[in-house]
Amino acid sequence: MTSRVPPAEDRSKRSEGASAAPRGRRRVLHAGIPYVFILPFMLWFLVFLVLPLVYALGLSVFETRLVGGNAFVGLDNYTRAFGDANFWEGVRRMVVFGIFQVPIMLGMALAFALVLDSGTIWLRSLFRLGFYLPYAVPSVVAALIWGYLYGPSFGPFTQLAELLNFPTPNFLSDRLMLASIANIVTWEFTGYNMIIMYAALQSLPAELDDAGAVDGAKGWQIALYIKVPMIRSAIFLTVIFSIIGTLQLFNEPQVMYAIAPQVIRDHYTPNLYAYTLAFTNQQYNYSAAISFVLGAVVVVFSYTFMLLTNRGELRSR
Amino acid sequence: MGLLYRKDIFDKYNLKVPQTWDEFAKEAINLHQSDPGLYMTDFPINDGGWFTGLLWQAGSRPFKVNGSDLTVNINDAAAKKVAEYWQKLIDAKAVDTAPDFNNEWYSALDRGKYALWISAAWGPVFLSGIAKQSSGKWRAALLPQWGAGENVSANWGGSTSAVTKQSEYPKEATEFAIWLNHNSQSAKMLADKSFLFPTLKSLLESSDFQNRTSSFYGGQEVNKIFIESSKQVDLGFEWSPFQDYVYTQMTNQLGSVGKGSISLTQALDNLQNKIVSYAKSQGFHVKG
Repeated sequence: MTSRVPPAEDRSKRSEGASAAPRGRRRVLHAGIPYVFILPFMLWFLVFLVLPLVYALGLSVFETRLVGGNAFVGLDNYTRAFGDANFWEGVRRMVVFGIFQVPIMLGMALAFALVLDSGTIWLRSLFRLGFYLPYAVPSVVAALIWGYLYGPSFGPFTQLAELLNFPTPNFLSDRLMLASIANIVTWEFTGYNMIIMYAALQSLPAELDDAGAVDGAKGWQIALYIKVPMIRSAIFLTVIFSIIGTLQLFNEPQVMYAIAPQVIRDHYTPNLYAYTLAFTNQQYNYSAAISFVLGAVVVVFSYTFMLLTNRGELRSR
Repeated sequence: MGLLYRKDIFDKYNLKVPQTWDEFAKEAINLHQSDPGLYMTDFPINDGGWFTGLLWQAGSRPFKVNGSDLTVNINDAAAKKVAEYWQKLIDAKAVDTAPDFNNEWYSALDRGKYALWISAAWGPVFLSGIAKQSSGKWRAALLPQWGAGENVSANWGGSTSAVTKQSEYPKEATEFAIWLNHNSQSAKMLADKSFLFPTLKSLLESSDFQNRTSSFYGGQEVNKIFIESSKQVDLGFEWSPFQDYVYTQMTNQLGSVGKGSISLTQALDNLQNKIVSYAKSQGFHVKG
């Protein structure tokens, strides 16, 4: 029967290790080093994120008029924001947008990630790069390119349709504008979401494939029933990002404004509305309040999603 | 403001340079009927500055500013006359309702979708830059008039040299701004290199500026048209203290007109209401 008490030398070594932590001033210095490492980021975070938020919060409880200057108005701007039809029209539009665009985009991203991961494609890195490339294109440039492609008189799609004697759809009309923008956003971000899911898939143990094959599962069954549930947290990450990004959509509508101002007008999305209020209407205070209400909407949607999915997880245990 | 028209299209369809808005309307309706792919011109439903210039020419005076007292009359009788006129042309599809200053619109001008562009003094040089293929086919003419034989023009926007409240040396900055626009060499550079139509009379009247020709306009002395036009501008027009807001609201309203959901007259009434309530919320004392 072997003794479970460690030999004497080990015990003394262990007590030495315990006292290896520095004492007194050296301990404080030692404990402080991590903070030094994160200090640059904390400074940046404070100056460029926290301070502007505090400033905007301050702005939102005042009102500056062209005639009469600055005055404290308490929660007046917020009351007005809650009753502002333009703002809620934008939010409603983004919810409709999100309900259709996000599942399609993430579905495609997941499909591409699974196919790439399965290793059945040759030139894998070429496809990986190809899917990701649209994300590397600045969204303003992307919107400009697509704006040209969508051109109702001289755009390539229209010219192709005319050549083939098809009726030319007006991508920039009231009916199709949301879908046209959804197309641009999907083109831009599918690759980005795919990479997140692909990285998660790549980190799964390779034995899964073998174990699944031994049990008689086909490739797509392994993918759907084993791998997808295992990268659940990565998928949730992409959904949260998409919710946040969708509600704050700005770049694409802003660029579309130049070619279809009668459709976009000044309040197509909540962020565009906040921008117009600030920089055209010079109503900076109200714009700040609108921005905070939008932030609250984003928080509500994100938190609701997390609650729903967490409850699902608990139940499945 | 003035007309820049396509001589080749005018010749092909036997059009005369319209002297009155009535003639313009008749020719516009006939032109589109002869060729449905062609419009007399575009009514840019996003361009508050363009539309304001036309209101100006008709005698509308939308704003009167006196310190914090503001009179708003964007839907006065003259404005309504302009609105009804263009609504008739829009309904008859005699004019297009596409937004301006984008690639589609540049192509349309270049490829002859529009027979003319109701433009301004900075237009000739601008057009020559964006419509290279149609070089030589363009000519300039004065605006059509509301009454036969009248000589009324207007401005489309404009440029200013402004000194801001935050300036550390406002007196010197103002003196510089005055010098910038009065000194003959400076004025010449502003005209030649920045394509700003001269405000200095000695430059306007110089034979070098007056007799300048360009092959883009078939050798026509285009500047003479706009010099004449600038003399016909009524200086009693005033801008609002928040013209950016007015233009954005105009885009909203004119956009609805382009879609056919409201008439131009209704758009003017909506504009009036929106501007009055905005001005009040900004602390102005509003009349009208």
